[in-house]
Order: sequence, then structure tokens, then C-alpha cells
Amino acid sequence: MRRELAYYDLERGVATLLDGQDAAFVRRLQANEDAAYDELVRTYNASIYHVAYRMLGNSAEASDAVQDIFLKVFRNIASFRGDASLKTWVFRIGISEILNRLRWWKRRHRMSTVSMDDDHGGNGSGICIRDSSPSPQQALESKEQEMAIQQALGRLSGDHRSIVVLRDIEGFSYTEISDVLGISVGTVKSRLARARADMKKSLIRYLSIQRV
Amino acid sequence: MKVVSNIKCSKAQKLMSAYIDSMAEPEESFCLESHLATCEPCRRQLQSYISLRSIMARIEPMRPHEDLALDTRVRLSHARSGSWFDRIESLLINVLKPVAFPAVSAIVLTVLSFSVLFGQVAFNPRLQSLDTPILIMEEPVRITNQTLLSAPATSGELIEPLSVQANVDVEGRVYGIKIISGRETPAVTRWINNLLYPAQFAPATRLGKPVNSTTILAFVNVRS
Repeated sequence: MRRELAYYDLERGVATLLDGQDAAFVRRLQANEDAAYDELVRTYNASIYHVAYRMLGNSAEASDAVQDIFLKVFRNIASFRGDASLKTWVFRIGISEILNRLRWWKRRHRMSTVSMDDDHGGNGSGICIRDSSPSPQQALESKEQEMAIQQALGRLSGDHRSIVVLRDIEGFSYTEISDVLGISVGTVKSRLARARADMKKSLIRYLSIQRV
Repeated sequence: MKVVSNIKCSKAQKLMSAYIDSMAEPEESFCLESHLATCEPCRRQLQSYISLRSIMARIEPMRPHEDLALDTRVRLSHARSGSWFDRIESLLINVLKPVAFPAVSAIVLTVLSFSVLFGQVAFNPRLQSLDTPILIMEEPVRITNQTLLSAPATSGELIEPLSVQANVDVEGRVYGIKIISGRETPAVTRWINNLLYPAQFAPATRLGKPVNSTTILAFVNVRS
């Protein structure tokens, strides 16, 4: 059961619906509390990095984006009104920053490339499909499949890519995606349908071998 | 175009994305399911959508570099610890730093240049001898009383030529007399005092404004 409590915004004199824990946490962030910012980074660092990496296709670029996103969260936390959950608000800032970076690169005609040797942040694990005991052959196939997915994502437009990443990789609900991207649920449905159709065309070879 | 049930394949395929997420409307789900019951190609399409979602969901979350969280916290800490004053100070430093060195260099060079130039002029007697006062917009004292041009004197008062320095105020009145050449006797002093103190001069002006000044008057004895 979701706990929703009225979060009374003293400055604006309006009561908004915000998770009780979120409301208290936001107050701590707005009070510039050290521990709150440590918790913020600990909570969202990995998920934002994952989204950034999937959308940007480059670990160094994704790391830079993550740092800039948290700085923007800090600079804008005073204006957070609580009309969305903190998670949604943080990802809204994150997606906006990532899309800006994508547009910046697009203006400079950067070709999106994915390297098989990319160590993806230096952990040496690379991209891997969840598999409890992969044989070398399976590991190679998984890596190849992951590369194909990343390349297929790279062929999507920024708007379609963000929807696919948020829904199919991060598991956001349609409503959350709608809040993060600032579009209606109907638009989420139609864009996701088109994005998945494009992904399906790119990955048809891998889909045919799936046992469902 | 093949039509099965009450929707076409193209329409059915547009509904599949929302359908696999259980986000299709009830009537859309009903139409799609009716269509799928009789359309083998669309059933395969639906399978491929489900497969796509499955492989996407199986992607292992990317773990960021282990230092990323620390680096982020450090950057946040720097941003948060900077007070309003510090931010303005750093902004000013960032703006002024690029111009500070050239500006200071220019000032130092200017001072050095003028020092060298001034030194040459100040300690060069040849150049100093060429100096002339600049009298721009200045008018000297003028005599308005014609009697001064031919003042009567006895032989005992003015025996030899006399040079007198007279201080003239802004109203043209003499307020100080000093004999600078010639024989200074009580009779001469009395004569020159009686002559000059009552006299009226046109005062000297600077930029059109009367000012105190000093004038030199020369007297010679002319026998008629």
C-alpha cells in the first residue's frame, strides 16, 4: 500500500500529495543536509547511470551526465513543489540533461558507436544478460546480443530511446514515464509502440531464437 | 489487406505494445484477442513483442565506476559549501583573472615610461631652460589712470630710475609695494606710496575672472 501524505509547502501555502518519506527527505535536501545528499547519491546514482549509459552509449559520457544531473538536482531542489514523486522529478531532470547531451552530439554529427572492448565504467564486466551459469559460448552470444540492443537503441530518436529505456530496461510505469517526460499517457503508448516496432526490426535475428 | 474479426492486422499490431503491458483499453484487448484467435501471423508478431520485452528486461543493470558516487559527492559538496558571497567572489575572480595581468602590466609599463621621461626632463638643465610659462586665457594688470603715466615728482623724490613691484588685488587696488631697484629714500618711498596706493588699476584676470597679481612698474625722471 502506497503511503501518501499531504506535504504542506510553507512557502507556497499549498498542500500537495507527496510520499511522506519523500516529503521529509526533500525537506532535508532543501535544508542542505550532508547526509541527505549522500543518501540521494546512494539511492539514484546507479539507476541514473544505467539510464544515461543506455541512452548515451558511452561510459565516460554517462558518468559526466550523472554528475551534472545531481548538481542540477541540488540547484533546483529549492523549487521542487512536490507535485510529483522525488524519483520522477530526479529522472525528469536526468532525461532532460541526457537529451540535451544527445542533441549536442547530434549537432556535431557524432556517430553512435559501441565498442566490444568498452569496459563500461571500468568495472570490466561489460554488458551482460542475466544468466546464472553462462558457458563461454553463451557469454559470447549474450554479449553480442547486448551489443545489438545497444546499437538498436542508438538508431532510435532521443524521444523514443528514452521511452524504451525507462519502460523496458528501468521498468517505469506508463504514468511515471508520462510524468518524467511531461507527455500524456496516450503519447507514451503510441511512442512506445513505434519505438518497439523499430527495435523489433533491428533485433529480429535475436527475437527468433527466443523461447517464450 | 487481410481483415479478421473487426480490426485489421496493422491496427492489431499497433495495439500489441500496450497489450503486453496490460495497458490496452478493455475493448482494445477484446478486439485484439479476437483477431489473434484467427490470425497466425499476428500471433507470431505478438510473440516477437513479448520476446523483445523479455530480452530487454534481462539486460543486467550497468554498474557505474566505483569512484563515480564519490566524485559526485565531492562535486556536490563543493557546490553546496560555496556560500553566496563565495560564488560571487569566484565569479569575479573568473571574470577579472584574464584581464588582471595585462592591466597590471600596462599600468606598470606606463608608470615606468613616465618615470624615465620625467627623470630626463627634470634633471636636464638644457631642457629646463627652454621652458616657457603657458599664459593661456590670462590678462595682466593694466593701467587705467592716465596720471600714472606722467606722475609729477620733485628732484629730491626721483633722482634716478626706479623699479617697483606692486601687488594688485581683485579690485585693482594696490595692497603692497616693494622697491626692487633704484635708490630707496624716505622721500622716494613716501612719493611712491602716495602715487600708487590711491591709484586704480584694471586687475589681472585668469579665464576672465579677476585675480590677485603682481606687476612691475618702472619710473624714470623726465625733465620738461
